[in-house]
Amino acid sequence: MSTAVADTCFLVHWLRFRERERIFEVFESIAVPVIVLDEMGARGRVMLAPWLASRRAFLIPRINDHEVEALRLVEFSRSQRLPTLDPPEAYCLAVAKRRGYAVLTDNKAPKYLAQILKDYSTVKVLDSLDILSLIYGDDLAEAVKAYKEDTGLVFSKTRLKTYGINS
Amino acid sequence: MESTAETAELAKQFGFTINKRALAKALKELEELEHEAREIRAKSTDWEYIEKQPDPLRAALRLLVETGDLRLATHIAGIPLDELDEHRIKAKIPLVL
Repeated sequence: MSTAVADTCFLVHWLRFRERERIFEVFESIAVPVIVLDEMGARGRVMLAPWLASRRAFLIPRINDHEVEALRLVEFSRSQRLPTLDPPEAYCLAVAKRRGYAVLTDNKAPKYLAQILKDYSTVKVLDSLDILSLIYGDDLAEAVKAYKEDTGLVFSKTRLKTYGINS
Repeated sequence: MESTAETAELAKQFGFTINKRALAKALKELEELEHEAREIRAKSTDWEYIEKQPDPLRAALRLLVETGDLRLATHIAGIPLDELDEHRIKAKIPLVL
């Protein structure tokens, strides 16, 4: 099993999910950049604490090399045609590329940039629906329903169809 | 609006190489997704809850309905991301992935 680096939006949503612990069936550990932790409020930090205490999650300090690369990504994403990348998700991409981690994010920009930039083609970017699919397989429809109840997230019909769910 | 060639040139200036086919596919997908997402957000939102909130939270929630950008809305509200997400759930603003 591998390591994934998590962006704030993903963590905030996933930590609300009743079966959040099952993420460790997919990843051995979750890396949390300090820039991500800084965005989280009291609730998110409290929910994250047990993962950090049990060493299933660990913090990644701010490192100049990653920040320089993140800035390069942010500046490029300001091109009018692309979804804008924010510094924390750019930092996650930079870390993932350097360390061979997957990226967990519920934002569209990192996912699309990884598809568009050949330099990032080896970085796997996954969102909540991708993770639910990996965990639940044939029982995905029920899991999607529960996830929606817990988080208020909705998945697009087009994407659900690609996972064999007709909503 | 930039062309794919201009985006490729911009990428080159930043030291990146782009996959032009992936760019065209991504832009089409994004347009379709955003159209669907905007409709879902507009239909589900509890505007009464939003209008009862003080600014800048109210402005942030309005922006969230319009754009779906939780992080940008967080900056406008001036509160941590998970606190704004609590208000998002109360205001019944779905985030569409």
